Amino acid sequence: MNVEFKNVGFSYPDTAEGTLKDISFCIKNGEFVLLVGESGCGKTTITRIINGLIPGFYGGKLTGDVLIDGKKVSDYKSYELSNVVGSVFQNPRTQFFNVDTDSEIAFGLENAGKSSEEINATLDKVTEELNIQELRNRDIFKLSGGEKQKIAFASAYASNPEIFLLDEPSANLDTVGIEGLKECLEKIKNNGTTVIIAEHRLFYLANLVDRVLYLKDGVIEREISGDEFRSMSRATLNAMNLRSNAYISLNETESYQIVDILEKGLCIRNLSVEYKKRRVFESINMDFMPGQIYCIIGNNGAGKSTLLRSICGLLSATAGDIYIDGLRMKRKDLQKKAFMVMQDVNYQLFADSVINECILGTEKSSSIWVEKILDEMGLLEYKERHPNTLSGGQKQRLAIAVSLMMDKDILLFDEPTSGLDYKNMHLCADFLNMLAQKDKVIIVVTHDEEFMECCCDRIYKLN
Amino acid sequence: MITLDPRTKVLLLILTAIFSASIPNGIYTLVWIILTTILGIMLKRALKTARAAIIFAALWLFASFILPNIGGVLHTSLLVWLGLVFKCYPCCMIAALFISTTQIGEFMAAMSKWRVPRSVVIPLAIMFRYFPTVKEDWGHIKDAMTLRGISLSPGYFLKNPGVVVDALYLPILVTASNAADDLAASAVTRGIENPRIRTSRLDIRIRLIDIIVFLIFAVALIVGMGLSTGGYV
Repeated sequence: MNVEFKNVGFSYPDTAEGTLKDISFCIKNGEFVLLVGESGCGKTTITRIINGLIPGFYGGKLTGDVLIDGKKVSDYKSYELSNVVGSVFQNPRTQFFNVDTDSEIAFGLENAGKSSEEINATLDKVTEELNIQELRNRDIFKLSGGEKQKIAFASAYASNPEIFLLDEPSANLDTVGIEGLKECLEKIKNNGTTVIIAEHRLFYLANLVDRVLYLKDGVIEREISGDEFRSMSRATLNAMNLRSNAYISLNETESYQIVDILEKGLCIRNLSVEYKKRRVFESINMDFMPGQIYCIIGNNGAGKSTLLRSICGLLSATAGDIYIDGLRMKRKDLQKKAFMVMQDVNYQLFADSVINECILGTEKSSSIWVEKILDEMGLLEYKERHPNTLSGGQKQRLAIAVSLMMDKDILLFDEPTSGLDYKNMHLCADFLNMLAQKDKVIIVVTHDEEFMECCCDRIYKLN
Repeated sequence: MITLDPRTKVLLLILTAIFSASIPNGIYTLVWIILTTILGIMLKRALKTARAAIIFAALWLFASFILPNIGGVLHTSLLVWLGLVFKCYPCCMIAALFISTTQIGEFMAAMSKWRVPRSVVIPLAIMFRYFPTVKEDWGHIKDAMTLRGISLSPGYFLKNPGVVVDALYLPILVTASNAADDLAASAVTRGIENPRIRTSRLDIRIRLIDIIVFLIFAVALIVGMGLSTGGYV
């Protein structure tokens, strides 16, 4: 099916971000089109217009014509559109309606009122074609991010849509998850489905795209053919604030010799942790010196989050010790010394303004000190804003500001760059470097090879 | 082992609510709990139901044999507290059984057969979906509070009640509302607004066993109402 935009303009009711200005383009049947550009450039807006969430769900003012197969999108009812356009979103945690996988895949079919025989037959067919039989009849809450995203994909796929829309589907996935997603995309491309995908991480799409639309400030600044895109150098892409179009492989960690307990910094010795009666990892030895940026990598289930939580004193170790500056730490001491910036930073913002967030629960709160820290984090101009109105990167920096207010020496980051565009990823790296210069111990759990390449001093791999 | 139609479970919940509202006598509560426990075992939730039943039994034995020997203010406050617990226990138990043995899609399709409007069913379905999320969210929020040096201990709460309340409700509010938006958007793109009668991949119909179970509970309610003379335990 063709998708055609004719002089389309749009603005959200309450923000200038994601605005579109007089956009026109046509996507042919069976084409694989990639939408790229900085956060807020309008690429998500385009996907939302095609699946009808704009203006139906998000409101705002839409001008111009959007046609699917020559028929205006506004003439389709939301449930008619759902048979034509399948959507997969960014966050695998929040897009499933059911708690078990089978029901989730069948969700669209049940809404459409198909008979139970037909639904079950489709369910078998879909899981076989996408090769996800092992995910049948599982509790979705117990799946990894990559597996959840496959279920979201299968749920859209089950309605057999002619157009597939994906909005940053890789944002929360690790390398294995992205590989699985790529296989699914290859499958629908070969079926002749039209695919429209908005993404920041580009490497996994390079071989699939027919055309790239580069958006900037709500207009299509450049149209790039698939071949041209594949031949573009990293420098060119980075200059456009885009991430790399090729996978960046990092040198595997050289084996590390554990010597004496460091006089300065964090040392982990023979650490074993059990969580929910399962041995997560055993006898881990690691050293972290202040002033350097350490990245911890490893597949899902390798225990990265568990390790971070143990370092923060949120979990107790079954065996082994953690030392800071040569002293053995108890759990309570670790809680005082270490701070973690969580992947979903919304969990750790409690106050009604940026400035109150900084002084909440801290004793030492002279306003000069607070403003200095906010200034360093680039947040001073937002000090009266509600934390929830900040962008993802700004919220992260607010959490860092809190940790500085609390004088924490050990700073841990859980997937700080998930969903960030090239520019914000770099900004994040810059802030980590700045923290390193303050002689903080910095430990980052990440899957983002591109990010590691630009700021990581040393990689530890968990198996 | 049996499965029940979600509609039967809704009826059982309503019967239980009527029971709790109209029959104050403790011995009947015990009977109702026994019925619910048997139902739970039949619905393949043996372990959790048995655990809930044992907790109830312990409280009931305490109320019957130990409480009368306690005097003073403690007696009164325990009496009031236990009275409240006994009132809520049957409803909570059957509701937990309902939620844990019913899939959301199945529930929505069954309500659709009853012609319950979508504007009623969808919020209920989202509540169903939200319960398991609460546990996950709670873990994260507790971690975040510990990292900020905010403790849930009574001592800390008395000193800084405002901080604790903010730290609890704001993240829950923000993450829940973000999640609800995402969830609704994804449901809309999958045709949840379709006015056709929703179907289910599971075969949903009222079977003989549904009628039998319903009748057992209904008869128990009627007999209980006839015999009840008031009183507490």
